[in-house]
Amino acid sequence: MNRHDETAFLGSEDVQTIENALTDARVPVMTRNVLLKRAAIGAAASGLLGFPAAALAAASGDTVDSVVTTAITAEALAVTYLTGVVTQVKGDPVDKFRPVLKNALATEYDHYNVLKSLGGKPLTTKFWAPDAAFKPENVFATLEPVETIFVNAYLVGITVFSNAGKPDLARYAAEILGTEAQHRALARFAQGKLPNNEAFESYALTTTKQHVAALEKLGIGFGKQGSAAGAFYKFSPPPPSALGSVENSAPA
Amino acid sequence: MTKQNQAPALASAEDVQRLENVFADTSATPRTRAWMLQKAALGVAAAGLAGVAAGCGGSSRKTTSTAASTMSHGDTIKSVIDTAITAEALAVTYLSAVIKATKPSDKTGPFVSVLKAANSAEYDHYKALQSLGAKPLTLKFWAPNAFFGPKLSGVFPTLEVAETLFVNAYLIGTTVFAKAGKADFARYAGEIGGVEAEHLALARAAQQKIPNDLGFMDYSIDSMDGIVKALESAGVGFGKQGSKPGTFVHFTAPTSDVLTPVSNGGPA
Repeated sequence: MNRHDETAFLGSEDVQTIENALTDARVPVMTRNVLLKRAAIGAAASGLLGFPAAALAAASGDTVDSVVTTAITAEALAVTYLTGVVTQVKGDPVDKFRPVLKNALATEYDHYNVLKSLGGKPLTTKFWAPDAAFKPENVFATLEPVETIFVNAYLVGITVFSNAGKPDLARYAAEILGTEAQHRALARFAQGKLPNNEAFESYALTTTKQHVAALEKLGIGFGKQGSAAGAFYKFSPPPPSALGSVENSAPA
Repeated sequence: MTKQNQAPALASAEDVQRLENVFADTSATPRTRAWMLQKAALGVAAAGLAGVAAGCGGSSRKTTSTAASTMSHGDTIKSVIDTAITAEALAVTYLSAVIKATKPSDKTGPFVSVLKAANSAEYDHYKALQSLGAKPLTLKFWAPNAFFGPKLSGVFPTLEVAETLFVNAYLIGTTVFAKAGKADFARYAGEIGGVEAEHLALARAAQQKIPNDLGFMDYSIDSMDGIVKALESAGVGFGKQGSKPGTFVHFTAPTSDVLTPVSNGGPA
């Protein structure tokens, strides 16, 4: 995780977002290269302000693409946050549960890699995270609602993939969902709460747009400043020392 | 749960129920159905009807229940939900027995609230599946003694294996339902599968193992037949004696002392 003290909007993740959009729009290679070059040198910054979150939440009806794209963006967020927690946050209860957190990080990174292999492209890899989320006493209270939202998101995925006639993708979503549900329960356990407090996982949100809004409500920003006092953090592959060891690093 | 140490009668309550399930799925007239069920309840027609209950021609009483639960080479919505509700009945039966047997000094002592919440969730799953038309293939199970063990030391290792299989079973469910175009059912399976995954993690934590050891939930078995066989390999018997020393146990609706309130009692 890299903390960004400046808030310029044309970092590498913005270029990546533009590249994703241009690739999907089948813009001619020459035009694409020119635009990317201009983006990379920051000439187009003002016009793109806020683009990632808007694009993330643009779809009113979800598609396979919107679900995969939102999912990989969320996994990038999870990897970014957990890398920060594992490598930089000291003190209980984080210290007590660091092996669990390292395994959770390894799992989220596996999800990111698999979604990428399926063609997923994150809409941003720069996130605004509230400062409070990095206080050791707040880590699990942060993870609980986030993991609840992630579980819900993969339930949307199962629904969308099933409706699209993609049973394998539906199962992949369910395979991921189970691990997110475990993280949710363990986040509750670490707070001294009854960990398994539900008979059915929550499906209160029915679109990826709602999921993005719910995460923003927690103070998170997708490529833009969030609502709570915080800082920008950039996704990068976690260092090996931050990763635990998990089995089944890909869907069956 | 009621323990039964004697050999199973041929026309016990679960046999009658199984027959009722079969009749409900056939065009047997109400009169024929009532007459047959009465005979079964009296125990006089059991031997002749065991093969009927098996549905796929199980030739002996010993294999009746298993055959009925594993008859499909390719799973269907019905095979999935019937196997699932049978597994949920097994879970409720086992957890209720464990909770009732637990003493503070037992391995399960510090985790009674978690076990009660798990039992509530499994019973909610049972009821939700029942409301979707699922019918348990048996309500009588053979539970190996090792599932309990001294000071209930066998409970969490048993739950770890069982919950792994349950998660796998609901992944089969998601796949089968998605293939059938039943997106809502696929999601229900996901909602339940997530909860079973939580139970798996907690069973591991109770054994001092790292609870979240998977990047993706396990899908090593791709048929409900395979799930049943795996449970049988662990010593469970479905309506028949299992492969390891144990006892028969009967599903009954759990009493309030083995449950604790949980949220989301049904699918969304």
